[in-house]
Amino acid sequence: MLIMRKISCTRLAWRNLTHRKARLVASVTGVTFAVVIMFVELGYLNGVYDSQTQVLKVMNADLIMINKQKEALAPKMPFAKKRLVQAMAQPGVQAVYPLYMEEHRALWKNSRDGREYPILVFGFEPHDPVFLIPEVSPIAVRLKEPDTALIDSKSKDLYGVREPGTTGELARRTLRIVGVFPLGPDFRSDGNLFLSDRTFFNCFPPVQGQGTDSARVEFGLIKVATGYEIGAVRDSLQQALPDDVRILTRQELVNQIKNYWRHAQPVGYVFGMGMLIGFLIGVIICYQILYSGIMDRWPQYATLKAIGYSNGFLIAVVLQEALYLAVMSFLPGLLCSLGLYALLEGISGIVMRLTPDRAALLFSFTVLMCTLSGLIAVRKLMRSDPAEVF
Amino acid sequence: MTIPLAWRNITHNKMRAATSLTAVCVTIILIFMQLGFYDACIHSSVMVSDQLDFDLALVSTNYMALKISGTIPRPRLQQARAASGVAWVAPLYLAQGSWRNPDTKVPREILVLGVDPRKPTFRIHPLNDKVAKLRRLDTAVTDTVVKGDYGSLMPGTTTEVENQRIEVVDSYAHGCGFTSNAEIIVSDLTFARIFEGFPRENVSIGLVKLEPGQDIENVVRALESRLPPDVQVWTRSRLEAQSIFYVMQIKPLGIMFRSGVALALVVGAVIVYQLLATEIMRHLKQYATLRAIGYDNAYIIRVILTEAILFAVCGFVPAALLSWGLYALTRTQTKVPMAMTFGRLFQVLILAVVMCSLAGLLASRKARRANPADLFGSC
Repeated sequence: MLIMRKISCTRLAWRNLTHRKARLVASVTGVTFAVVIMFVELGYLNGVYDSQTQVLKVMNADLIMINKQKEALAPKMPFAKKRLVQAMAQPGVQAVYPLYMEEHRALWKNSRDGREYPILVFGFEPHDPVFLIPEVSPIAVRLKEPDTALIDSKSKDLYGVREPGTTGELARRTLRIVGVFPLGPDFRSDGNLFLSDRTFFNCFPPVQGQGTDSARVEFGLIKVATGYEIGAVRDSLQQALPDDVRILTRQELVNQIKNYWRHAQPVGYVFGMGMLIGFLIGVIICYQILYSGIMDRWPQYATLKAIGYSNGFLIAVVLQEALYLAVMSFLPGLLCSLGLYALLEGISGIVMRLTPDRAALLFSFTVLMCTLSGLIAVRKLMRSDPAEVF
Repeated sequence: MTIPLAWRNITHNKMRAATSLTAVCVTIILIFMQLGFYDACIHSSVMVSDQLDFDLALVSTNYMALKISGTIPRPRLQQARAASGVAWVAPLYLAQGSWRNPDTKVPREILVLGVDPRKPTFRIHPLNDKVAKLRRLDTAVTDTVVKGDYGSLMPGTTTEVENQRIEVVDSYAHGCGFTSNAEIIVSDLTFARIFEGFPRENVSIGLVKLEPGQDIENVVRALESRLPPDVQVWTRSRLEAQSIFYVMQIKPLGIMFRSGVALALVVGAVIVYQLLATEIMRHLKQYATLRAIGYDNAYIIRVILTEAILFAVCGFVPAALLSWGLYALTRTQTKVPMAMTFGRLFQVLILAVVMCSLAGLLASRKARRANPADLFGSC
């Protein structure tokens, strides 16, 4: 008896919702767009975080050494190279690769219109496998030629032609592009350039009073030897080295940068508010759909109550309707959002990534949204008296 | 004639009217908020130049934004001064430096503006008096509106900017928007001491103030003919337009907010369409009847359009009130400058009415196609 009731509850919910096709399409469309709003706002929020940590995610490192006071990817805040040398001597460290960075002094003058524009420049030893970008590994060795560079093909158009063979000026030195790689701009810089360490220091000699080449490493990439646990090596390195540097796992540094952006800029507030409004719109529309459905079938519901079905059963029907609505609007919302993400990434250059866990998060929001509206809608059912209808 | 019918249609079912109106209201709030953030973005991009008193600016041919200004040779200022109609010319130096938090010693980026302390460079008059104190070397006037922890910015604080010892002699509150997280003003001589690498014979921008009553276009032409081509002569509005262009079109944040507004409008239109379409479906028999007894399509469209506009107006009023509150909340919780103006209210009202009208026109197709014979046949 109980099992039979459950089955017909589900079927009843489905039938209720799909009874009038045109009405269903109109209803689902409304909720779908509420889902799209939430997806886009979440996409922006994650886009800020993802873009600012993009280059970290392609660094070939188990641990990363940074200046203790460095908070985010930029501004430049290097540490003394000898710290890396000291780290190399520690147990568990298989290799260290220094990565140099320049921001403000790095003005790229492109050969197309002769305009200068700031670019983010990274310098490294060409034989060091510093980046995990597949395009970089085979061509990095070409950087051994003096005054050569690799340019980010996804940089903004301001940097001129981004193809091998073109030339440009960096800090009044002419450089030749010998390869391209895809990385993408972030909120601060609109392009990236890779140089060999030799070329890097030729372009950016130390300013008076700022120490010699040794005090210039921005990121110390550390590879942990097999058999050693990464966290343990991090701790032992931190202990062994003076406290003017910090050693973190790659994920820890990513989290630190995300936190910095969360607090330094009101992105959470701005996009969170957008998501909340989208959520509210969804609740209201879903509520209206469910409520109209209940009112339309008022006599039928009253009859069911009169012949002995409990309030619980009727509530279950409405909540199941809400669940179906959630699923039916989530799927087209997801597809729509995938398209929008691609479009927005193309226009803005910001990474808009829809990962399974983010989709799952949005799905739970959608279910919550519809369930909430369902719970509000059923209050009417619970208060009803069958006799009133007849 | 159509209003009573439209009104009755909406209010016939109080519950449904309430929820539909709430949906329209929240959608309008979304539009208010997205427009607010978008405008705040624009406003933020000109916050630094807003502080400066100038009519024309001499900028380098590489000029992209205040932080990426390039430099012009200092003699250009004197050359511009000699042109007729020019009251005075002042130098502006701009660079990002490192401010050491006096409390925690953590270095943070700060925008440094270098000015001649003898000139009235700023629009905010009390600020010019404060800036006069910068005649003493190695002093700074701080802007206390900052994003993030910069430590004590009060007069009397001493700290380092790019390893140069600096003493804060005064402060003011303004904010620098998107250009930076914080800013300080120093004298031109102090600026040269802080940024030793800055080319000595150059300035970032030349600020030109004209005599009252001058024809700006004439002076621009006169200056352009007088000065070599390594300098551009821009009006104030041209400089602001460039800042706005840079933030809104090049920088991703501007693009995100613009698409946010577009999204809000599209979604709003779809939701209102869905509401109106459902409304019409409910009254399909009545519309069919009206057509049967001789009312033409034009009348039906007018009714639906009136409904749509009533939706817009009735949803707008609570939305405007709530958004006013949300703007105030945003201002206090974050440093985002969001202000409700009559212009904004008018703008959103028009948008809401247009959005609802378009949705209404589209939805009315259903009512126009309602065939009386069909409907009564399926009864």
